[in-house]
Amino acid sequence: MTPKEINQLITQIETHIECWKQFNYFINLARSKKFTAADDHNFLEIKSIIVQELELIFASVEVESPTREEIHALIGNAPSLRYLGEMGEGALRNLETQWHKIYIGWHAILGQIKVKQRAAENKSFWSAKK
Amino acid sequence: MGILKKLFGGSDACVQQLPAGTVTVDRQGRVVTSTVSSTFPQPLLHAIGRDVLELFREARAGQMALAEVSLHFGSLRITARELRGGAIIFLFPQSAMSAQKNARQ
Repeated sequence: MTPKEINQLITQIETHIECWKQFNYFINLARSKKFTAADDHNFLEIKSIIVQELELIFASVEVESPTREEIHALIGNAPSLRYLGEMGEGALRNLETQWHKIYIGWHAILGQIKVKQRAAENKSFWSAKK
Repeated sequence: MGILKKLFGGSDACVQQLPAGTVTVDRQGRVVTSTVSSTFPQPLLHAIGRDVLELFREARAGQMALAEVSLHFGSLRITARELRGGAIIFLFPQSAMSAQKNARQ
């Protein structure tokens, strides 16, 4: 992977992570039961973006965890804010735990790619010195 | 910001369907992902993304902590949330919104 491709991948994963933050924002919105039809629509859009980005990232890099199945399971368990709002606290906590595992998993992936970026930068530095 | 001018103010008069969906843009204004129909002109999506980022930049320069901005036009609502220098932009034609409201009643 070229340094440019690594930089692009980092930007892509950072955007993806931000979308996961938005996902958590919507879980909390559902818990508060203070959401509108527009929020529910935006929640659907966030999930669509996450699923699309996931495929773009998986096409560029091999990711062991989080797996596609884990992510689809979480998204499948959150069909709408209305549905989440009617869930019990235990089920919501379970959803949050799933979200947290995936969120931290993405940060680990981002860290690994940053290591590769640093290695590529050092390599190009030394090859430039020769 | 001239978003409407960019959407409707082209030199060639043509009927353009309003965009519906979501776009994520990175801090350089490049579209990362989009759920907007691929038939919608991509330069217009880029223009919307750039203008939204500019709005967040101006807010930062004015020391305003702006996490979300919502623009309500006659037939289109644009809601944007900041994503670490980039943004997620929800484009929502108002007619679709009214249809949803009616369906819920």
